[in-house]
Amino acid sequence: MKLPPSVSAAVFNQAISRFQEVVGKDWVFVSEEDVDLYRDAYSPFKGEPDKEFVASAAVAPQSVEEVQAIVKIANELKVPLYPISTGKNLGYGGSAPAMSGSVVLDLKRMNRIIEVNEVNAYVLVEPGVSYMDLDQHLREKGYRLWVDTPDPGWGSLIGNALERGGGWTSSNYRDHWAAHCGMEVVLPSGELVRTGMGAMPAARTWQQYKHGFGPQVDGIFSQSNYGVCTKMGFWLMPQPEASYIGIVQVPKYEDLIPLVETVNYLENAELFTGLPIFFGPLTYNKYIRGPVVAAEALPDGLVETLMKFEKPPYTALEKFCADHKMGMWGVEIQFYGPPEVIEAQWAYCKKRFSAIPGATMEDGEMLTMPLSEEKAKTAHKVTYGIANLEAFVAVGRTPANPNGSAGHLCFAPIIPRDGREILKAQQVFAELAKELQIGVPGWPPIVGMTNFTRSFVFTFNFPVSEDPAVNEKTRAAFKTLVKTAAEHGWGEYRTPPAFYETIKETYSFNNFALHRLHETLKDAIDPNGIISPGRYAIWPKNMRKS
Amino acid sequence: MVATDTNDASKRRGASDGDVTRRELLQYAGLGMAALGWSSTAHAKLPIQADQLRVAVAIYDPTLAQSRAFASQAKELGVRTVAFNADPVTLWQRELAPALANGPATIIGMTRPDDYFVIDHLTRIVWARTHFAAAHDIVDDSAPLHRILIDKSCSVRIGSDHASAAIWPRALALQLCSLPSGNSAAPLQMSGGAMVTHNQSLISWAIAPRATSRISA
Repeated sequence: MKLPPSVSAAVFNQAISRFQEVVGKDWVFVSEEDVDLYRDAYSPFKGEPDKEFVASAAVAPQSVEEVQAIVKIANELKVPLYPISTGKNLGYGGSAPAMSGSVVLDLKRMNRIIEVNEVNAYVLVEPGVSYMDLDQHLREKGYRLWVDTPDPGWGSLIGNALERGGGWTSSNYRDHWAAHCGMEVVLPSGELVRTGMGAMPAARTWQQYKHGFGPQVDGIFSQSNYGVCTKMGFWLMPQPEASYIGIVQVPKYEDLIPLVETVNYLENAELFTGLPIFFGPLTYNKYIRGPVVAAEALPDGLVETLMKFEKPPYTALEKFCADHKMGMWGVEIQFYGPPEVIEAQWAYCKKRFSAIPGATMEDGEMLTMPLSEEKAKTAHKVTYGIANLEAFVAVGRTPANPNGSAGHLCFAPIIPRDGREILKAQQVFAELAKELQIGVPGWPPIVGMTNFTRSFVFTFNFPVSEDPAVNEKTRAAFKTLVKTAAEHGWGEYRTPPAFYETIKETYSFNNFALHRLHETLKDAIDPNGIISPGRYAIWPKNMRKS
Repeated sequence: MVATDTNDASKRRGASDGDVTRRELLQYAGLGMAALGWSSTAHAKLPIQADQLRVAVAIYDPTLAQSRAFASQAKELGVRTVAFNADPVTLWQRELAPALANGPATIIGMTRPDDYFVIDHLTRIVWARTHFAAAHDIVDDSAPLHRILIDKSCSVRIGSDHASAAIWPRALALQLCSLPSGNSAAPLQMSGGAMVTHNQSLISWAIAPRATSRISA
């Protein structure tokens, strides 16, 4: 067992004993077999036990009062806690703590869906409620509401929102942090705080008005270590009458620029609200929307053609796409609403896209909601609010790699919603990947995800290996990409603990003024540094290096 | 989607899954048990109670012949079998969560590694954990290479010395379904033990709850 730094075995044992008094012996986990469940399954330190982030123990309370009692004990004995919700977060660190030896505060047993309000379209949940739990609850109870779910859907609403994750439905709901309304937080002192209208005991608007009175502090509890969130409200999407996907393709390499500009206008004007999925030649054939990767459906010779051309202008690639009646770039845009409204919106969108020479538009099918079971089988479920785990099938298994990989690390810089920037990023990352002799991120050309409406997330996954030597090389490459991205103004939105410090170094405006503010807050709110030391590179005063 | 069965898929496969005689099977499984020895002292090391090892359900992949044979044997032993058709959420909500919530039970399966990974992590929601896992590397028609990955509470023999490729999945199911209960409990100890990797063709596994902690659904 790896004890927390500066905590003696005697003090640690005392903490464990007192935790047991609070939650009962069954819910304090100290055996290796139990604690192993909290390891990061996608750790980039596989096979390197000295480097892997591991917990010393775990405690699983069932109520806010138990959380408060545990936090008070931890504060008194200066034993670090690492709160998790349902503890998935694969690709971004899993449920392992940011500092080895921390005691995982596992909130899975707090799994109540406290309130669903159909008229005002919101829900109030505890940390142990997952997207698939809520989705199941809404369906079984017959609510005409959707929860915007990430892909995969086994994570916690609260955990994902606190990590500032993104989803797939309408723009008002895809930014999961932005879709929250009201929080309940146990501070490191054990004190209970409610934000927004929750601060007014008689208020009935905790989940209807975000701001309350005075400074809005919710943000300091996301990607941070200032407290333990025990309740959170979220706005839900009313189930639309229908949904529709239209496809636009453009023939030239440079056409990505007007394509993105047109999508931006239409999306920001809310002429469509679904997630626009951009695709390049390798991601043609709608595989993104399908249940599995259909690499075998790609035209013969495409991959070879792509790999031959490493610098613009890509005229041969354009010709290849034209010969195979596929666009160089394309976008699928999804609509939600009454059919007559969607028809008018799509007609107007087509008019705007037709300003791009050679653009082609493909009509879709008007699907009435809820999706039939038959339609759902082949649908991209998350865009219809259906929580699922198909991402593991789609991402992990391909015809070339039928058994998937040992995991992955998500490299996810935020890039401007500008086609020029995407074309530049493709080149920058492709050239860097070639230099580093790693798989080629960015090329064959990827465009980036649009979970957040005003920017791209230029996501690609570094595979994790069982071989420590390979992982060491991967970690070094990851760090190089982070630094290079930052030089271009592209910053990571979220990352595994292994890279917190690397990424912190890139957010350096005015001699790290923001980071110093984070530390000031940490010192004020958590002077003993007992909540998640090191999370997002925020260390308590007594653990800072310099 | 999840389909409980009567497993039509395995029946449609005809004789290829079932061309092992009962005598061959028992002989093979029996040899395995005898070779490695069942002992009551080993059972004392189990972190879970014997009655928690009741096999509640066997999960199989209907697209894999070995997995169908595994399920077929489990079904013959009276175990409920469920086909896994790439929808882990439905599998979890309809089968696994109720099985784990409704009393001490083991879930066994033979699936692709990715599917095992997802099932394993789903069952962690209720603090269940893998007690046994073995990888079966299958290349073309050659004999599979079996490797024990995890062996915490039971011990199962899957040697490479068998004569028929059709025997081992059934023998494995026989042993997993015959996991200790009451006084007859006796795990087999196997060599090996490592983190599960994702580079095998098939994984067989047994997932059981923690000794004393169960969460209500």
